[in-house]
Amino acid sequence: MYQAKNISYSIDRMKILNQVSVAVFPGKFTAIVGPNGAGKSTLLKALCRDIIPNEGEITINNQAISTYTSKELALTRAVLPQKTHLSLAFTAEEVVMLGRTPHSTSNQQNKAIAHEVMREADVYHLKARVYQTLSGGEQQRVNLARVLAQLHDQQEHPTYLLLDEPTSSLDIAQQHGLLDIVRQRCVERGYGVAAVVHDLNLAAQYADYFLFMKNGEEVGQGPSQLMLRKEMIEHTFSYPVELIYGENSDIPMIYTKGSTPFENTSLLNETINSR
Amino acid sequence: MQVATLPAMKAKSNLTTNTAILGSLVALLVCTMFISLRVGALGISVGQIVNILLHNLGLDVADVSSRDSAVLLSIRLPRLVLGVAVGGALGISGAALQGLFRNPLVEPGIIGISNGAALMAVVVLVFGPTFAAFLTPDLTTWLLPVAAFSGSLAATYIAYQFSKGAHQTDVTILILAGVAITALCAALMGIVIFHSNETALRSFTFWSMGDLSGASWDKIGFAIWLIVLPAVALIGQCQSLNAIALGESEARHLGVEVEKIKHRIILLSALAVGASVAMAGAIGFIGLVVPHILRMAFGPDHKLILPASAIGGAILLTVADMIARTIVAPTELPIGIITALMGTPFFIWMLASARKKRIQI
Repeated sequence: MYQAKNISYSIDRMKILNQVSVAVFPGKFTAIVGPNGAGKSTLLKALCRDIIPNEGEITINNQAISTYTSKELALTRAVLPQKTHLSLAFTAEEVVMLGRTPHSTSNQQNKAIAHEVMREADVYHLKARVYQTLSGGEQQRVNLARVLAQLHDQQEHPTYLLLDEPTSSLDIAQQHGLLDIVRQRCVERGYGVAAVVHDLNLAAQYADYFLFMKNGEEVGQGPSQLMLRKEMIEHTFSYPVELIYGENSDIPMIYTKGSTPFENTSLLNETINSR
Repeated sequence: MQVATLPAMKAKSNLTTNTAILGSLVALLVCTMFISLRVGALGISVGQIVNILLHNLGLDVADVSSRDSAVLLSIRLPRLVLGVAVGGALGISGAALQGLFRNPLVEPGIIGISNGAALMAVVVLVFGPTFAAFLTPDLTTWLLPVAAFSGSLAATYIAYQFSKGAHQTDVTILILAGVAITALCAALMGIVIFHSNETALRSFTFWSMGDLSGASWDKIGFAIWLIVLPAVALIGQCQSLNAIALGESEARHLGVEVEKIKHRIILLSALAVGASVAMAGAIGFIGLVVPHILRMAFGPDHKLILPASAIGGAILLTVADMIARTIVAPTELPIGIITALMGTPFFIWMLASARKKRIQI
């Protein structure tokens, strides 16, 4: 289990995270949602060990994250950012091969693994293309293949995949394509997944657990069925929503109407008063 | 899009291709070295050169002229060795720093290495003679390189201290601090030059354009290791530098200890380039352009580019030195003029063709 316990983080006395806890279970998909500036990405950065929280602790498989060496950590969790800017003109294949950096397997094995995951991410045909000449969606799939290559080898302990708004620059087909693969890994290989997602409907279709965040604090967390409620979403995002259920589906469609929240003064006042 | 289907831009991770490229570059370097040893006021044939070298290794070879031997062993060879070492150090440091800073405009001078050395060099050249009476002749010879070396390390250290944050070193601030320190050194140099006489000014001008003359075994004996060992150690950072191309945090996520790598590369480059500048003056251009030319030709993989930049830098400097000391014989041109004159047109041609083929650099 990948766990953050009561972590707080501030920059210049401004609290970005305030006593946030979250648990990411192997084989489960946890979505982190909330409005802009809620501290979602900061939480993910803390989970990656990009930043060290001022308070609280983070453990992976019951071991404090600070005790991991860089290499051990890289063998335990991979991170897929929103966008990756490459400073050099590597080919797609070379980028995927970089996912093998923490491993000491032979070049030949690495290449075989790279090709395998590139086929899964549907980028094998791009392998000789220079990364910078690819479209945004293709680049993101190449990076997905890179993190899959990083987590490819079976480890004795559970492994985790952290994603920071992985689908924000993708079209609808690509969004589902990427999350399908992530979901599949989650189920078949038991990866624990934590993803910051902006699109609630997208998150609703893939996540087992939800963490709702607002103003650096947890609003609520738990299994999707319990968390995807009108009040929870409206309170978190300060915007009116309707939940629509399909005939044979227990996953709601979250419907928002195109008006600015400032016009809905009654709801806005209500949410302000509730804080 | 029909971009990047050029064979040269395809994946070059293939080990045998890399070995072949490096092998050819080494062969080219060896040829250049022999030609460089051959040419000069006194022509020595390749056969003679081989004989002299073998003789010196203790083999019994007939027919070795002692005059040729003296010219070769105590004049041309130390100069050649220094040139190869300095060219190699500039090339590989340039490649490593461009990779580390994720910026194609970086060259070793940018973090203050060159101007820190230049400031100390001009101080020694201008004020040195005043104090020469108090120093032994031995100390006078060593004063310039030692001062230049400490100047480059000090400038880099100050720039580096600025960029060091609580958790990590900010490379943008390092570059900006380097630029600021370079400018400050230039201003201080101006003040010193204002107080200088003609002779000192002339020596400094030549020094600042690079100068391999006057290389002798006792002069380069120690410095050569200070140049070569850090340069060789830089090759070991290739895998990490490849990962850093993705971004610093991405590299960290892949298990690369980015902070350690930064410290190591900055220290090793400052040592190698600092010692190079101390021994041979400020030779521009090699550290900037050699890595670019090689990347355009063979792709960006540091496993290849780091050693290839060392060899390429050595080739370029050897050829430049050969031209510098023969073209206006019996005097010689400052070598920096030749490196820039030779490299710039070639570099511009490569840039133009890369643009035409729409290759990303």
